[in-house]
Amino acid sequence: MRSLRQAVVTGLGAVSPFGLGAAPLWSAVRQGRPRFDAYAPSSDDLPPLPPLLGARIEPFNAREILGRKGLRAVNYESRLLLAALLEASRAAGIDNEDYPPTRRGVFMGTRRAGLDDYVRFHVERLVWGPERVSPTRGPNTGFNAPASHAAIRYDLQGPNLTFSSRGCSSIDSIGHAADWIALGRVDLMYAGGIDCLSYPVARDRSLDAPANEPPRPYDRRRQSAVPSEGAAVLVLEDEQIARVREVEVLARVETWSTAFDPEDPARALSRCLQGVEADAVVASACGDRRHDASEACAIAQTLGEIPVCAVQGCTGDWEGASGALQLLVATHALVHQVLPPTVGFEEQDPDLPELSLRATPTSMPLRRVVATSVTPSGRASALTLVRD
Amino acid sequence: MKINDIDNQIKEIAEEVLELDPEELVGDLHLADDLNVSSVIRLEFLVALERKFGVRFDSRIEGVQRISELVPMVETLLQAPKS
Amino acid sequence: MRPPRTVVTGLGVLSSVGVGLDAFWSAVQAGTVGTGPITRFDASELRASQAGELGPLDDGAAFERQPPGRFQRATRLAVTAARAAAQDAGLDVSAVADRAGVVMGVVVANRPGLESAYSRLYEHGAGEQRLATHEVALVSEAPAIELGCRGPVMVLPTACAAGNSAIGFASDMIAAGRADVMFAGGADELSPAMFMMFAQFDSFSQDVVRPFDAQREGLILSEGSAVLVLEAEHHARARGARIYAVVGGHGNFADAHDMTHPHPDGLGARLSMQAALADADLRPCDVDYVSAHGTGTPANDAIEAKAIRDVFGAHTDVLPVSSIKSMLGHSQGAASAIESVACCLAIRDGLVPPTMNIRELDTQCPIDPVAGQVRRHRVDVALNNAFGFGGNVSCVVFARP
Repeated sequence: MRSLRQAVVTGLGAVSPFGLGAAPLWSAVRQGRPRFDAYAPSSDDLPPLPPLLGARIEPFNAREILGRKGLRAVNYESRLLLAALLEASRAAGIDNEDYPPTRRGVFMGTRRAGLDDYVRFHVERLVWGPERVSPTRGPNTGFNAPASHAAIRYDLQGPNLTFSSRGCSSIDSIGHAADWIALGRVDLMYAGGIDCLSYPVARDRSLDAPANEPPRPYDRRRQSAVPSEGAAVLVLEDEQIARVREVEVLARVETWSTAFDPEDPARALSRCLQGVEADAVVASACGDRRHDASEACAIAQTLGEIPVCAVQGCTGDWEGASGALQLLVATHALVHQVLPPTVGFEEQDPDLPELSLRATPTSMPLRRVVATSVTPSGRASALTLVRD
Repeated sequence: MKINDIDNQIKEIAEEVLELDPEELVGDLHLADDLNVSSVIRLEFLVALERKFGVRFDSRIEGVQRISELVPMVETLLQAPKS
Repeated sequence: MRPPRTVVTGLGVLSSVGVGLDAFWSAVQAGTVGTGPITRFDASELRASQAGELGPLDDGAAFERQPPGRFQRATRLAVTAARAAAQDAGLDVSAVADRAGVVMGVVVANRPGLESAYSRLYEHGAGEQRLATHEVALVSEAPAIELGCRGPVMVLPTACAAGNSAIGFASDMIAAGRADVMFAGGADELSPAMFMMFAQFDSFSQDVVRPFDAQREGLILSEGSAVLVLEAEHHARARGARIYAVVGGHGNFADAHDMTHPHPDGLGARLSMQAALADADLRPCDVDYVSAHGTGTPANDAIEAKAIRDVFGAHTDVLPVSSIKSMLGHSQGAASAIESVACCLAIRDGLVPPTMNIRELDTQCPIDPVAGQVRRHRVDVALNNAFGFGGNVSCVVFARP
């Protein structure tokens, strides 16, 4: 039985290596046009890094998008999130009069938010002394800064949480936001994820043998994930209010589940997928050997022959924001009835079950799409969107 | 350093840290009342001045809200013998 | 069908006044102040002299499946508290592994260890410290591995409201039928970065924490962890578990005002307290004890007292409101988890913890702070407040089972 209150998706927003907005991101993903390049994040007072293959967000004029004032105390990743959130809000046609401030909130997923500022805060101490570190940087060292900045800037007085569960972070933030809407605690939620390829992340990656070619999800020759960055936000609102507002309902959140199994991550994902019905999967495979193997096994075992798209073959690894990216793509897939290709997959891995992957965008009837996420540490989450 | 140079450099930093255009920086401005500067941005501004001039404000900086008051304070600190 | 109620069946705590449930609770009853000079690192450069420290950590017994040396301190504190809570609950997780989860609240979590690594990198241009050990998710994964939990495993890094956020999340997981058992709490260690941050906002007290005092100067940072075993009531009853309290409800509204200052009218605090009571189906006059956020900063305490008065009206006159941060200091992501433990024990024993170090109650804080001495007082309902930077607020209601 469907409960009275249901969370529906009515707006999307993103900032990605393909530019500002959900449209350029969807366009690149749909066409399978990746944008990997070699570059190195820098930090004034730390040793330079060797160029690293990755996908980077082009510098953008935050003042132009977010307004001229009040950005000094807002760190880079929070600006990205604010831009994505603003776009999603406009796309959903949200008028501040539709929802009182206490009925709107924000849940964000992130793995690394604040990491870059934490490190820079410490380095400022080494350079300038503890009395002359930047006062605005301190609060930006926290994981919760992006969601907090969003609440402050857009007067979101309702629920505000930040979730961190590695690659599952933003599937979990979105799933939990849908729960809160269904419980009637809130009517409108901005839910999504944010993670950036900062100096400390790039430095860590550079200590492994970094990828020398773009990612190959599920492919026999896959080496490792290729770093990337992005922010993606979904507008979730109560279905009945959305109908009254006469806004287009893009999709409805049907199920969310999360599990943990450190011995066998595939088993954790299989548990999340028990009983899930779907016409396609937007998967989290990123070209990492163990990650992709776990996901392929769980999908094949529980969902059988189902069309699969591993979007991070095109975008690179969005870490804690990858779930929001996948669900943004899943929403577009439902709206356009098109499953994007899996960029980078060419050759079946004989050790993995065969998945139904496409080399080109494929039109197909899609009513339900499930986004899956699994991590080598044993986490798994899955969220199903349905277009009624 | 001449007073004028100090004044100009303070204004340059004010533009950057306080997110102001040069035409907004005229007259004897009060950070909180005229420019709507929050307390944390005021602190950021003071730290930026300390870094720029290599000085350290003491407790007399508490409550200082006017850019015009900052110029003589910086000048005095710059003239003080380095301890 | 009504969703199952969430009950508290086990408690584990590591605090600056005592490690272990009995040590902690007797120290709180005695009004022991656990803050003192900073020894965990060289603080001579920092504008702070005091901290609440745990002392040497004896956590070997808590780790059965993983080498503790692999983990940063916050993760080790989390595992130790989780192990203690599981033992206190007498719970064999293996019987419910798929239906058992872990959720932890943190502020800095495993990041403080990066500071020495980046000092080496800055000074010598080299350093091979990897990020893997600093991964925040480990604060929940390591306890989950130790205890054998295979359900929802999550970290909620919601600033200083995090411990309560975790308890709220856990009770939601149980109410939604997503888990039968959740280990919920918080853990954090001390870091020079947080000392630098609060020093710039002039937030520190240089001697002791004096919540609600007219001359209060500020907070003192501390480290610690606490984990509560939360269970679906039917699950706890079926195994005959001792039940400390029911998690009646929780509320989460943001200040949406400023990164470092609370809303001047205590907006998020008031809304979150009211929402927690409504969620618990209780009226303000049903509350017998408020465990205040009570950091000891001039802004927090006055605004919190005002918000409490707004919510409780005339009932405030007979409502004990105390802050154990006067003894422990502010243990960041662990703070409200530890205070939740205190709420459960207040219900069990009919004792309200004191607020220590008050010399003269601030007239701006018209509440009964239970100054100086533990008070015998029946507690059927306790409300726990937690507020954080960024305007994160979370309030939780505990009730007699």
